Amino acid sequence: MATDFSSTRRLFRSLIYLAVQRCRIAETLCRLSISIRCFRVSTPPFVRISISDTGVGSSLVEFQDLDPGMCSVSSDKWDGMLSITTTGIRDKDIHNYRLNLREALTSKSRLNTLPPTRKNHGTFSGTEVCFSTAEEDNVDDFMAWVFPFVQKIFLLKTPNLAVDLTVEHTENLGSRYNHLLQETDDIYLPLSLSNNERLLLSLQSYVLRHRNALDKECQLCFTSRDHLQFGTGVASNIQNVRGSGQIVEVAIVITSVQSQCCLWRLNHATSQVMYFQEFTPFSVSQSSIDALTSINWRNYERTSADRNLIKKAVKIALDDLKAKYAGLLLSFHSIKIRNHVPDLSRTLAGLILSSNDPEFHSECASLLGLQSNDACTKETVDACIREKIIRIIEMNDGKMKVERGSAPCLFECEGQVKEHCPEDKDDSVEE
Amino acid sequence: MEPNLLESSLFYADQRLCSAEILPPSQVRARIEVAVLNFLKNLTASNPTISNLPLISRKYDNSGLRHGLLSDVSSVFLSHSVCARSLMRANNAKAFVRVWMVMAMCFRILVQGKLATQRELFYKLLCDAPEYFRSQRQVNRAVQDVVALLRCTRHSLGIMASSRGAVIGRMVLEEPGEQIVDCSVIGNAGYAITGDLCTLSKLVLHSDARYIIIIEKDAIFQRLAEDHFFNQIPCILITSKGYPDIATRFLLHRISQTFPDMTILALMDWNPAGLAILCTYKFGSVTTGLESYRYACNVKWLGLRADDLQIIPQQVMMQLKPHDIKTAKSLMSSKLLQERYQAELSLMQRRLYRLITFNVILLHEIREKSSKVHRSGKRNAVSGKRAMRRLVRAHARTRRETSANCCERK
Repeated sequence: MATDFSSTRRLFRSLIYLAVQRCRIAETLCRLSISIRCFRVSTPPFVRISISDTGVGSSLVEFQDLDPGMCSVSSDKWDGMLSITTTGIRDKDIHNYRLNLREALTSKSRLNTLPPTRKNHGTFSGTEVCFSTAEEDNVDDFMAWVFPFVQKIFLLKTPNLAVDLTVEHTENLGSRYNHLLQETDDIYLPLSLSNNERLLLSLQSYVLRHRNALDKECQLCFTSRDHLQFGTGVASNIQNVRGSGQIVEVAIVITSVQSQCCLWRLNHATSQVMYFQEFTPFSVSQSSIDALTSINWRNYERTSADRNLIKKAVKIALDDLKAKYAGLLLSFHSIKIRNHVPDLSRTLAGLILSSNDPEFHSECASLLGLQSNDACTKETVDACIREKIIRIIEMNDGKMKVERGSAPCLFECEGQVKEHCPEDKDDSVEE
Repeated sequence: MEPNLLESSLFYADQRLCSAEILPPSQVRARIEVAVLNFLKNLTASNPTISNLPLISRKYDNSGLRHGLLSDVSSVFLSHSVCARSLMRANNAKAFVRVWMVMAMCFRILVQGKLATQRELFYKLLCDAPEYFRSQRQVNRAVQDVVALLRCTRHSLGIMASSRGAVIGRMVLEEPGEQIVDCSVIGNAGYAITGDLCTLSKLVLHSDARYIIIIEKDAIFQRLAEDHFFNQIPCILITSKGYPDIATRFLLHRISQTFPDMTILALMDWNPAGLAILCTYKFGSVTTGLESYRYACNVKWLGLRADDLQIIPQQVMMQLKPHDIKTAKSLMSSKLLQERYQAELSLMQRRLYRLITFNVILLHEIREKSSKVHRSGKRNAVSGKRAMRRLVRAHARTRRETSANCCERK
């Protein structure tokens, strides 16, 4: 949850969020570069973070609202200063600023405009934001947070956005470097793909690589993509073209357990929820948690804002899964019924085969689509009937009770047919 | 409250009557095979479904009372209202499967040409499917469901009634190809009534009795048998040792059909259960309404009655139990009871009395020559004699009324 995060991490995320929005607005191929220099040997150790993008120029308005909650951080650890360099495509100058986030919004010393740099060559736009902070006592901890965060941005395969991360560790004996680069394939996905489709493709890849722990798809656990079942859903509360509102897109991937699986899989057989807001990874919001926990996973009854929209999208994704893979996500009700099917099919098979009437046998075999009387063992008949009954249960899952109960009767009835036969518990029956 | 004459007239009632047929094994097997084929047809249709089981409703609201036109026998019958049991309702699914399991078991029994009791059925089903059949009651209910589905009698399904019944008294039974049984000279336990209705239907009966007395309690039955009561008053004593089973009712019905002039009397405990037992002999029951209407008899309530209460000591009275109260309520609300019976029942309800053991005590006194232990003193000797006098008076009245000597002696 956000409350656990340091100001540094909150600011880092906010700045990336802003950079991503600027790139999306540009509607052209953009780069987002994240550069972190770790000075471990200084006292205290500090990091210098630079986030630069080639999106539209910034008007600084979005920076005015930044408030990553610095009150808890002493000014020794962080001075609150952001160095901002930005230029628009039509600007002749590159503008330089220093923004002091410790100063109040109305204070004149919050924003300090520095002399601009002349843009001599080229037509470009972009922004770079830098700050240094010693708030993170354990640099490795911080990096352990940064890497998965950036990998999640890759996950989105945001159209027209290339993201990269460079980390430089400056120590006594020199510097070492880490790079995290996005795959070219991800950047050049067809533009016609919807956000949801992109999300799904990347989620599949993420899962097949065991949450990006591997460089390529795990061949032991996933011999083919058939082992993945996925569903997507989109829900929106935007009333019209000009209306404000939200769109929630959900992708769900389920992997079935295979007889063979690798160590990673054995140790990580858990579910993971990832939440993004405007293409930036965020902690799962409380409303999302509320939505997910309030979904009646047993039978997807719709119960009854933000939470409802998220819930609606998740439900659409789950229904998509159900529609594609019959029997994958059955309601609790259907599972309860399905448990009785093997006993029923075995009973029927036993009944059929206990008859000594060959015409009856052959009629049953013909109805079931079985080849000949000789091939009709109790097991084959049982399996055939069982499979057909289960398929009907799966098809009917999720339908209204009225639809479910409207099957024909075994025999024609003259009299009035009541809906269902309750079990009689109190009748004394003659023996 | 007398039932509406039109509604209960035989013609009207018979149109509405739904009956379980007595069928030979081949026809029952054919019905079961049709059931399976219909199920498979619906399962494999272009719009496949799991067929619902249409079961005749064995509830009060699907029942009626029919009066005989030419006889004074009334019986409970069931009409055609059906409830559909579906696999697709989670609460019904187990009961749905149970019906098929019993049907499959009966099919096997019929193919083998055998008969099985409900007890045997329970043991077999308990072995095959213990999660589905936990008690005899569940088996019995499932059997009645199959009767309601296939509309054939339980016996036609190859299930023999488990009979607890016994008969003793002035009757000679001839089992075809077997020995002749004189029920007046057999042991006190009486002749055990077989559960095989086919055998019962083949018995040749001879009797010079004037009455058939249905006795609720086995202890009373044995006491009267021991004292050869049936020789003092020419009668046949019959008991099912509690709630009547089909075999006992079947035999009672056969005796009454063979000897239509015999008066049928019932000696029950004075409590709602006793009255319910009497009503079952008299009218049949709703739960087995598809077949039990056949064996209704014109039974008269001899005792115990409310006017016997005055000479009964308070200390032998017991409080009505909750199941008595429930039985009383359900009897009161049924269409069966005539006014006098209703009056006695409401007296039971009001005074919350039930008598069980007193029946034994009273009957001690019915034996004129009894010198055994009297539990309740002189007053009961009077009451016992009063009941006895009632019986003797009825007997004498019948003898006067008949012009010819109807006593048949072998």
